[in-house]
Amino acid sequence: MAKAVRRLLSEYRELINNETDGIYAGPVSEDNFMLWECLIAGPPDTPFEGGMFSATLKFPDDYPLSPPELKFTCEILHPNVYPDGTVCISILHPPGDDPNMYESASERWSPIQSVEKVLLSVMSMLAEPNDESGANVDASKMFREDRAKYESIVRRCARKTVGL
Amino acid sequence: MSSSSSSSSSTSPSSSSSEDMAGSIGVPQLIFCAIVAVLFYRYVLSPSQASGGSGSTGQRRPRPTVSQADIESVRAVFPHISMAAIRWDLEKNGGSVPATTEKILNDGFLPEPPTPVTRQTPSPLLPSANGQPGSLGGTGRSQAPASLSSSAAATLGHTDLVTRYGLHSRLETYRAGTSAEQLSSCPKKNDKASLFIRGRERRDLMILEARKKMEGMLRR
Repeated sequence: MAKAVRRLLSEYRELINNETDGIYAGPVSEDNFMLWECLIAGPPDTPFEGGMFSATLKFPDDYPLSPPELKFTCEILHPNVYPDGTVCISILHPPGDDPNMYESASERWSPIQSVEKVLLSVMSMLAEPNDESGANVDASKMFREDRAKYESIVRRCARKTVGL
Repeated sequence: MSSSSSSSSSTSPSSSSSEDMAGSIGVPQLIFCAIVAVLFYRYVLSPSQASGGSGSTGQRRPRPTVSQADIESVRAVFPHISMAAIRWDLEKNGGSVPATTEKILNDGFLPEPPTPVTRQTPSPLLPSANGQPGSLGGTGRSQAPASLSSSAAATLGHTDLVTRYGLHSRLETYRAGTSAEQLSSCPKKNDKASLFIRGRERRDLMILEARKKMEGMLRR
């Protein structure tokens, strides 16, 4: 636990000092470093563009050995995001556990990954949904079969994130 | 102590240890038997009481009444938590506002209630959530009602970022372009408190910038 907090403090310092465009992450409150809030800008040239998508990152006590859990706290429609907002991408899966049997070990979580890399992966996931792992089956189906409708709903979600 | 000394003095340790066992029958085993008997009586002979205590509490026990004032007092402190979730949690813990507050502080959120019945009543009182599920369902209702309605339900308590972080008052000044200078004048210290101040400011500016950009996109 103390190790996790130390690591998270140094990641936080790094994130604040070297700003990466389009992402923000930091603890929700000063006395709990294990729960972070983060913002991910919708990638340009996608229907997510212009939106600022909020999520929480929940860190396990043995972080960075185990990956954090990332959950969107805004309305979002995406094939790889469960209806409850939990994100399903390979970087958030520990190397030992591969329910889908198609992720290579290098794509998955390891202690050399970081909050910054997770958020950048999520940003590219927004731009390029992975059709193979359908966390949200209906979104996957709509993405494949009715792209126009998918995009119009996504654009609406993006507008809502900034209150428009 | 006694068993180790006896086994060291004796020629055959196995037989001596079994004698020790035989000699110590009594108090511990009697206590064990008593516990087994009590558990047997509680959970096997009187199943009606046991199931009332552990199983279907939600159905058997009358739902405690939660006052609207209690819900609103929790929500005043945590505007990002939906009324439905607060009501549900208060119902579960018997209406204790401190317990619910504690839970939100520890977890950062409250789980949404599973049944749509409790969600019906508070929604008109929630101005920010008004129309959210409906307008989203308006386009998506015909094809994927299940996933959209459940995701809308899970996000019923979600407000937009400008509202969540109380940035409406800063929108005007940000459009005028004064906030950028405020940030650059922030001293770049690395102690924890300064990090938090800089982090929060960065978060707010990102939201204001995104809002400004989106306003521009919509105008085009």
